[in-house]
Amino acid sequence: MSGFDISRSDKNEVSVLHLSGFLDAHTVNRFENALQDLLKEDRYKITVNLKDLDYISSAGLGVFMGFIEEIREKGGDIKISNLSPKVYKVFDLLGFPALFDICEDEQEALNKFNSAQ
Amino acid sequence: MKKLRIPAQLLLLAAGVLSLITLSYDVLEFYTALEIRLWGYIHEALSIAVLILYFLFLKTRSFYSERRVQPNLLLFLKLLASFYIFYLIAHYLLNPSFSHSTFPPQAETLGSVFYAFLLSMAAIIFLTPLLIVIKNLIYYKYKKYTTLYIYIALVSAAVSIFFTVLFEIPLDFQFSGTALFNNIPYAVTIAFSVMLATRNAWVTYLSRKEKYTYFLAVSVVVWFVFLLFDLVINEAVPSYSLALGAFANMAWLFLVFYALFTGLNLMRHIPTARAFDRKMKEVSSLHNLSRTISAEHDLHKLVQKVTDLTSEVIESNYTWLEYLDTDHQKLSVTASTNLDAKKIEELNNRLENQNSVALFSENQTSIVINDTSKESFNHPIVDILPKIGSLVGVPLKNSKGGSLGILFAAKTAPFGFDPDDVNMLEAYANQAAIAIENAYLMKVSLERERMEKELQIAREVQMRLLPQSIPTFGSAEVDTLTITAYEVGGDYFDFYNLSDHRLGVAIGDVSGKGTSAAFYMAETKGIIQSVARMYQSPKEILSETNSILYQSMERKSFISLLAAQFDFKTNVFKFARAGHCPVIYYNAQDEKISVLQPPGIAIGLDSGPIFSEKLAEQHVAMQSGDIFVFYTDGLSEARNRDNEEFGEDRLCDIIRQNNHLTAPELKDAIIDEILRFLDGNNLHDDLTLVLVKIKEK
Repeated sequence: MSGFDISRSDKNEVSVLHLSGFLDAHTVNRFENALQDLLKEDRYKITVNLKDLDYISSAGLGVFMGFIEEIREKGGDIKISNLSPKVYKVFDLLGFPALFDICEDEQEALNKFNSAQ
Repeated sequence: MKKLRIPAQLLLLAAGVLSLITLSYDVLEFYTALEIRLWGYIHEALSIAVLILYFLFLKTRSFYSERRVQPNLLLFLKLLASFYIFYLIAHYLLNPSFSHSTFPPQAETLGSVFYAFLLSMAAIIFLTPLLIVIKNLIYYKYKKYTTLYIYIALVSAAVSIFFTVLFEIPLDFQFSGTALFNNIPYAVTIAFSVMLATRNAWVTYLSRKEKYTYFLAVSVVVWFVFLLFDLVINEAVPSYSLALGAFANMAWLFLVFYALFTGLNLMRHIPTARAFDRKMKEVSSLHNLSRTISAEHDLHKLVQKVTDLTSEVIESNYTWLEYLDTDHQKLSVTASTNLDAKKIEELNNRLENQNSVALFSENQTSIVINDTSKESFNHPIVDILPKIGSLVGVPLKNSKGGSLGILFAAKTAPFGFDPDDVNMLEAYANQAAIAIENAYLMKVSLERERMEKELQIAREVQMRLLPQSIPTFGSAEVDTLTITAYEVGGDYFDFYNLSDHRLGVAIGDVSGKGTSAAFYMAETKGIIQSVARMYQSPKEILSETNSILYQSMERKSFISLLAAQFDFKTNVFKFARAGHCPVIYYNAQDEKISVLQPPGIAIGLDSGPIFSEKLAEQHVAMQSGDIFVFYTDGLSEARNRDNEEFGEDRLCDIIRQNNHLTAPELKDAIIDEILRFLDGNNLHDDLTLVLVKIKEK
């Protein structure tokens, strides 16, 4: 199995997390820590770019669920962008598109955040 | 063969009787000037018999085979002192006098006759055990010819005694006449006595302190042993019995030799005593450490033992071990000797803020600071304990050469450590490193074992939750397959609402693994079984299940679940899918395969409104030959070595190609295909498959 990497870039009020590789039970901690750090800094507008994500397990999906409630309470949101067809299939199968805002690309997500203000 | 055992008391009694016989003759002879030539020889023989009987008696005593040095030495001193006391009392009471005009000397008074008898007995009583003590000391370290030498010395001594009696001459190397005969065995006895006298290996293993005190003691003892001849043996014993006189003479010589050589050997060892002591201590402490290591698996007790032993051997004032936390690259004190808790806390706080790992990470060699006031050393201990004059730090290396920590020893005096100490510390550090690594591995493997046990329990619970038998129907074939992966679990399936014409199928996958997955699974099974009694439609069952489960589930957990209902009376198949894998449906009439995936989100993601809104129920009119396949993502996501997924399409193909087979046959075909696909690769998730095929009417 190949590795997992996570990088962050802040665009004004919105923070973008860029995930790549395999997000499974072994790498899920790092994704959780990254979100935790954002919450500590009171940054609640988050876009998760999954352009380079090869695989997501149920543990990886669980992270989105674990944080979304608190983030929405604080007036923020997690938007998911750039899903590959394969990863989208997993999201879709479980019904995530009904619960999360899934965008074509980062720009769409940023626009949605901006227009919501 | 049974050895003849004579009671010890009987031996003593016989010796006493024989000696009294000789005494009575001597008294008679003194008064009557009686002279029987033959009786002289009988007298000698009886004396020797007394000696032998007494020796046999001593052989039954425990000290005869005492190997320890100290008890033997103590007995030696006691016997020597008793001999002198006996002599002084006898001499004072009897005031003997002997005429030296003839050989052997003649007793001049009756008191002297008694005196000669008593002293001869004393010679037997004290000299024999003294010789045995020396024998024990010689046998402290057994050498190849030791026993042979002893026998040669004893035999030649016996010959000497015989000649002395025969020729009535003293043993003093006279070079005239018959004395020459006597000289040969006498010389052999002396030669072998000298050789045996050099056998004092026990001296080597004494401690330094013992070597000094024993040397002083032996200088005095040598004189007392030497003086035994003049005071005790010179005239009295030969006057009583020439044989005993010769025995006493040679025994005395041997004792003198042995005492002298012991003294010399002690003197020889004194200069190296300190170094020897040190080496002995090193060896025994390393031995002690390795024994501790094999018995102690508690890391904390182990490192404490290391510092305690180090400080004991190196005689350092302060000893402590800094352990490296590999995650954070920080050192902290895990064990110490003579450092109080406050100092340790201070040291740990300072270490927290200082990267002292850098101290060793480059070449991992030991650090020696001979004088802290002159050499600069970047370690907080210098500020915390200004008393320290010198210190040594030795790295603990793991088997791969990486750093485990540092063992420190410090002394208040400057220049407290010589190169030997540093070597010693390094030896200790190596041992400690192995031990620490072992203890750590042990801890990890115990942890793993515990987790495995837990997983196994979860596994067993999961297996018990699954249906133990497959239901049978007149109008449909059912078959199932469950393969559990090593680590990840959470697959679940069940049958519900069973009757002649109805079959309910539930299949799901709980996110997470191990015990928590098993718990959710148990909960799900219970809820479905009870909800299915109140509601008929799969959608209602799932919605109800969601609203109950949502309350108790952790937010980041969810369950994908599918509920299906076959009605063989109305020939309708209904199902709803809460985020679970789709149903593969083979339509026998159209000979078409389709993937049925109505919308629906997984259980536990939403409290109810969105869940119910999204969830859709799909209905299919069943016909004979139709096949319905339910599965979990463990099947579609099974990966081969090229990291390729098995996928839905492959499953559809097998079903289409094998639609004529019965459900069990079809299952086997799917298993074959999966195994061929995996080609020896392991499943990384549970795999579940439920097949339902409608029979021909």
